[in-house]
Amino acid sequence: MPKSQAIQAFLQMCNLPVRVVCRANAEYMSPSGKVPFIHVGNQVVSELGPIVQFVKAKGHSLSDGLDEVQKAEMKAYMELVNNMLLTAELYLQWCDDVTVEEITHPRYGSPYPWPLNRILAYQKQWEIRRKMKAIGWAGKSLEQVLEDVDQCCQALSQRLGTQPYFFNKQPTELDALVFGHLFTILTTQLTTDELSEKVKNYGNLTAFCRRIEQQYFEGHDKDNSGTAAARSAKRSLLR
Amino acid sequence: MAAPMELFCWAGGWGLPSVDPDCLAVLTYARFTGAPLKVHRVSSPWRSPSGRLPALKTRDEGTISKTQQIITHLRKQKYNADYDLSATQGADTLAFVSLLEEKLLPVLIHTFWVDAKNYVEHTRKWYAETIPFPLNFFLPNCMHKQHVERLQLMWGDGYMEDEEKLEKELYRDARECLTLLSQRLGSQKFFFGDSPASLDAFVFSRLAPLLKAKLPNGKLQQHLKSLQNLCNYCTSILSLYFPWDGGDPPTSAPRVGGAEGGDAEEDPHKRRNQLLSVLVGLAAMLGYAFLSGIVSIQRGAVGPAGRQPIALEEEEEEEEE
Repeated sequence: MPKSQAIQAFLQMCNLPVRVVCRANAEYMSPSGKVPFIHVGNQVVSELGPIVQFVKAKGHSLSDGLDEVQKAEMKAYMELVNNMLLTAELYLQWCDDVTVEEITHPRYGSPYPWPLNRILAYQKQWEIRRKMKAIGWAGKSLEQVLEDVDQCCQALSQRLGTQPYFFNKQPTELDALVFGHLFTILTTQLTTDELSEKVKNYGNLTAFCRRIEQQYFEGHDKDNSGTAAARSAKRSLLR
Repeated sequence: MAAPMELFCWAGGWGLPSVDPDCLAVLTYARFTGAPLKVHRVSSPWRSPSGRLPALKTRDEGTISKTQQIITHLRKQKYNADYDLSATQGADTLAFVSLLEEKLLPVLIHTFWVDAKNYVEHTRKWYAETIPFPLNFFLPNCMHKQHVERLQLMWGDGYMEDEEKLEKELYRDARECLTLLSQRLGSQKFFFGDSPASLDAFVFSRLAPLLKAKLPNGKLQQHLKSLQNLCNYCTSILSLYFPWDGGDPPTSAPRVGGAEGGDAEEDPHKRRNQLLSVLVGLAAMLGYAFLSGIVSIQRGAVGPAGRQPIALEEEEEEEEE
């Protein structure tokens, strides 16, 4: 979810038209096994990094105006988001027992009949838990994870300050990525609101998300000919 | 704040105070902040109180084993290298540490532990020579397997399918990461001005082994060597904070005790091990000799009666044959 929002935001920031299609076997269609991916002509590219490269090769880039030091900082902050926010989201989805039982298992297994839905969900959970162990997050408690998220948000909030985007007037990949994650955190219903509360603590981050949603997603809702499910899945920060 | 804490870390080598990046990070941070640590340079994780290295043995909170947690603990004890940083600089620190951990550290592990030539000719050789008998036979292999598994989990299943392509991409990302670090450092002495911060400890600990080790297959190393400001940065930190090429400076008393104690610990253990193995060998041979009757003690009436006739009979048989 957060990655697809990020990629959509990025493509719309580049002024490239995009159509969202939801498929149950998306993971298997993707060349690297990871979703989301884009399908352009007869090429398939997955993950934000390669998509950014692909779009750059076609002549669209958001970060050309940055100097070397800024580019270094942009890459570093993108890794921070990947390292902390993404891992925290995965942890909450797959390692917190309450959330796993009530939300993740049903949602992940919903396209499949019983018993396949349980088997695939357990398989994915086991895979993610192994990965958490490898990077040292398995021993963390929920409070520690939330604290890490708080630290990450604090860093992002500091960096954003009072500017409209992270690198002043122009949006970059970093803005798309941060938007993707924060938007998902703020709009996804979980068993507890603690995660979204952490983000809401930072007023400039919520304002940032609202601004991007208004600018890049409002007008495009009508153009999108995605399935009904996709349209109903689109939630708004403005209520 | 009062009692000195004890730090257990991997021994030094290749001109560095410790060969392991995590241990080096903690050591460097401690040097930057002047934290009074009693450093034990050990040559196997079995010597550490928690079984893993680095490990910090504190008075109140037991033993801490994760690098980040050790640094947080030192910070709580008022040894804070980031005290003077602004909030934005603190945010930048988090971001750049994430960059290092995601892009550079895995490739570093790959270079030292997974790349076949480097592992066999350099890493395994050093660890096998340093780790004491009999652990040196299986511990390096054990560590190698752990690292390979960790990388596989981090890089996903695609790692096994198209290894070469993935490796190329990852090495390219690592080279880019090094270039970005070089650009961010520019011509400054440290990343945030004139005094070192925790980010400097992390960057130094990842770059120094790559710079100093004599790797047979060193594509990443060559790229690092081409970035002059990073090389100068590493060498200046080494000469400023670790002036005796990995040894402890003789001025600091508790650390000298630790280092000398550490070295002295090694020698008697080594001799003791050698002596023990010789004794065990001798005892085994003698025991076998007695039990099978090749050698017997004849003391007249003393000893079981059955033995003597058997011994005599065997001697007679041997003489006949």
